[in-house]
Amino acid sequence: MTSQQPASPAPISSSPAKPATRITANERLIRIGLVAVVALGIIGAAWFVSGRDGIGLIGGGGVNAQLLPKVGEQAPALVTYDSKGNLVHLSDFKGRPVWLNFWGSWCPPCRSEMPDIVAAYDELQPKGVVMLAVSMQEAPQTAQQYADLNHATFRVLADPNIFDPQQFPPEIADSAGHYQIRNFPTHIFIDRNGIVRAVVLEPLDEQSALKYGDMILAQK
Amino acid sequence: MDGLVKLSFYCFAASSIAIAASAISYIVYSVGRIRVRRAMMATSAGTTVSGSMAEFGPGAAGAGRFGTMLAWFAFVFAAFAVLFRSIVAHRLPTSNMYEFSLTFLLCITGIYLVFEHMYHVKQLGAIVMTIGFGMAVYVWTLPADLREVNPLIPALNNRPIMTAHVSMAIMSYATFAVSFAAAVLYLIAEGRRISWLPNAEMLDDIGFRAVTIGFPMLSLVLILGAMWAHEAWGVYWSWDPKETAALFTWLVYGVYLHTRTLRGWRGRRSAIILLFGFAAVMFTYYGNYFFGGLHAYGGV
Amino acid sequence: MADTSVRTQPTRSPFEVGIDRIWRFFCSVRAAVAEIVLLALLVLIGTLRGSEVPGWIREYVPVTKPVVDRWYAWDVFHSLVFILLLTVIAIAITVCTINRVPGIWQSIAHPKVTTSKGYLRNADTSASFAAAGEASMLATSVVESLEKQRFRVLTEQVGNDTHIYADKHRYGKLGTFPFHLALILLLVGGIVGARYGFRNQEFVVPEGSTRAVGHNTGLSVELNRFTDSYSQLGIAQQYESDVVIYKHGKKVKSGPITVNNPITYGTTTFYQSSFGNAAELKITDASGNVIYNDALDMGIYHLSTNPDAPAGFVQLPDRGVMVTVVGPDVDPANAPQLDKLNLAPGELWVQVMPLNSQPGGAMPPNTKVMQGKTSQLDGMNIEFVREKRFAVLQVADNPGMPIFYAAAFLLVAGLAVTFYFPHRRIRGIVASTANGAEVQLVPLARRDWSGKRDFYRAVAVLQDRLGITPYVRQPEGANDWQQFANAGAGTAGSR
Repeated sequence: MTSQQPASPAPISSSPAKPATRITANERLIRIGLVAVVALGIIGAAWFVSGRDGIGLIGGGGVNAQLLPKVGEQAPALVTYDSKGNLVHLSDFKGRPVWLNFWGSWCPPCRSEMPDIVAAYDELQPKGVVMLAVSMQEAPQTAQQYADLNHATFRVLADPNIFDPQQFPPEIADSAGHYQIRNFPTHIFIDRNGIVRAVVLEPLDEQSALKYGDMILAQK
Repeated sequence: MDGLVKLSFYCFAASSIAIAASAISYIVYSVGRIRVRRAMMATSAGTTVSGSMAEFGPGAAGAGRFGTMLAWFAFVFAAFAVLFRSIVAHRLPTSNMYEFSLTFLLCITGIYLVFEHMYHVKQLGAIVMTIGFGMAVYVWTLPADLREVNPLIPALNNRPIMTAHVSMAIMSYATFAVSFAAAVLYLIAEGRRISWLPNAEMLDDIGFRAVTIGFPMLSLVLILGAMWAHEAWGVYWSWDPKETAALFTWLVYGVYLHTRTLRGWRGRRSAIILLFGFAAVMFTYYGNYFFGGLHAYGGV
Repeated sequence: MADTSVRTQPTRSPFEVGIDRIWRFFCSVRAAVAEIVLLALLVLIGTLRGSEVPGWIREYVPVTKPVVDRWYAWDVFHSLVFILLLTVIAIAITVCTINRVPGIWQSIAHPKVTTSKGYLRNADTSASFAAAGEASMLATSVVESLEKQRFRVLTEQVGNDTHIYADKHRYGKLGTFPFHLALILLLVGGIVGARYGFRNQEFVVPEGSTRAVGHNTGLSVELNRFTDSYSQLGIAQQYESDVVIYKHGKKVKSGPITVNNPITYGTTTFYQSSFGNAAELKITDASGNVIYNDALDMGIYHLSTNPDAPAGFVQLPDRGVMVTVVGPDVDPANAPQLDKLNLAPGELWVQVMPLNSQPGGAMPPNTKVMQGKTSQLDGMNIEFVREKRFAVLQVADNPGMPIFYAAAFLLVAGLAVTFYFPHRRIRGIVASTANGAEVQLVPLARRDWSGKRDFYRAVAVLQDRLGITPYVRQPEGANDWQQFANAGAGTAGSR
């Protein structure tokens, strides 16, 4: 048993005396230097390790991915055939507001919104809006049949991804890269100056479609 | 913003390296010095006999201090990794296994440093930092696309509760890692006279103290999870495997607390329950690998 | 706390003895620990059942196949064993807690103040101060110092000696009650929810339609619009149902329901769950009377021969028929093997069969109908107006929820009080000696490191106050007591 015999009644300090460590300026410098060297070592090693593990590839995906045109920027070129085999350029409609709809007749939400889209376009077309309905992942004729069933008056365009750049104008494949569609339907509203005003990643009803249509019409 | 994602990953790399170096330093400190002395002895026959003698002594205090410095580096770099990613994502990085583990590194180094500050038992670091290092290695093996910041799916998109629920889970797991380390050290220190190991009763107390922090946290994890499930799915408890795994962990620590406070268990028996408890924690942590269920999202 | 005195009670009946035995079983800590361990084991078995682990075992050790098959088949959490165990635990918690009340209350309200010199002598940890002067003066100083350190100090005079009992955070012992009450409440909440609530996981409302909730709520829900929005990566961002809620036909509430943001009216809550496509149909009889004019959800059901062909049905009891509708296959790769109907977009396949028809009879009349067109079938005109969307909501009324929230609060609060306000106790005797007076203090902290640490802290303060170096006895292997006092976490309230 460790023991402290009751010695003199004189009180001792209640906290244990710490060994008096006095750091000289020199020692302090050495310590700071050591910390700095270690920090540099870690940073350097991290540079090496993360470089080997593909740090260069990180950061472009997820929320930073750029698959679609950005709002406020010039709409990139879109070139493809329509369902009747005519080559259509987005630039053909310069000076007019354009409503791009990427859809498919195989896509249930696209079919659900179709009557609303048709009704909205019936109202917007006389005001000058052009709608180009790019049917993705299917033959444009199939999409045209479905559009006809809905008495649609918009032009049905073919998926630019289905044209081999060896046999068709390479601009078509280029435009596929500018419009990488992962959602069906995707609506893009472009004003008469070719500036993208809205990218809508949800189905529209007649009212909201008209709202977007009026918005691009209002841009002078 | 892509630069910040890169920078976050870079800080994570730095944190991994620091935590590895810290673990090594702490281990060197804890194992102690083994001095080998050659002894020569002259025999009566006129020949000399030489032999080696191993002597164990306390580790160099410098190694311990070095370990602490590196642990601080690991903590600070992990903090920056979490910070940069939070800026990009507008939330704490807790939505997939990469993000979760990143935040875990921050918490385990942070909570360890708090315990080191309170108890001055650097030997704990040898175990806790090794666990942290294992976690870092695991993160490096995860698919690279998890390193991207992705938008939350609707079910996860409940920032206040998600932040509270997941960060509580991470902190409770990190605290249990400390109690695990204390239990392992206890089992080593108990009954042996290893002069440079801390007092066994103190290690027992560290294990208990860590549980008294981790257990209420784990309770909150279960409660917040139930509240969230009630908001998102309309049912607060659905016997989902990850849920029940956490409940299992909670029960193991419940046994620890009851045997301790009501039956006066201390020492070896308590330490063994703590080992079980941490195994349950690991089981819950990695449960996503073999469970399906409601927690199976976020790409592992 | 055990009563060691043996009393003879010749009048006890076997019934009383039995009750006593059951009571003691439920009070036993050993039994309680066994129950928790058993519960943990069952939870583990149930957890692993939801995983691939038993499958791996079956694969590597084929002998275990029958066991593993039964394992997968056993719904642990709804089994009788599990429910019985929970019941036993609930009873044990109640009995245990009631049993502990008198003891805990005794130690809070009327603790035993006196101790014995033998007890103090044999303690492995103690501190004694020898002072010149009167014993009563020393006692006063000790009591004052401890009280200043927020101890409750009780004294009792036994002969010439003053016995001291000091404790701190005595109410922390009560934390166990809210905690265990919370556990009982969690079970009660679960039972109340299951017994008095309801939960419909598949409440389907198509856009533009109104559906009754049922369950005697008098509520019905109209869906104005369902919207699902995505990120450009194709990851879902939000599912939103814009609804109006009616009570007995009167509008009472409206607004959007999104995942994580349900709508509650009264005690009934509506949650966003899922969605799909619906076909709006208008069915009239030969004379033009409307029989059915609503949207029919497609896809909750599917064709029995083709899981990718969404189907829906509606019963028309007035005509004694059921109308079944099938939409286009969602996977074009299924044609022509699986997809025999080969419907184009905008086409529906419709079949009308009598409500009381037996399977295996003749093929009921069927036809294809195009969107915007009308087809005649079984004397009815069936028009396929358009496609719409439907939302699947979950409707639940869980009266157990307030109990759950109360339990959650009590649980956390109980734990916090128990852990962060540990009961600290010191016993001691002040006695006169030949040279003056001596006080010997002993902590009630056997094998309790932080309990001892807090004791040493109190001793250090006392040393400052008395100006006397104490004689401190520490268990073997302990640190120097003054260093010890400075180590470790500060306990709430001390210092």
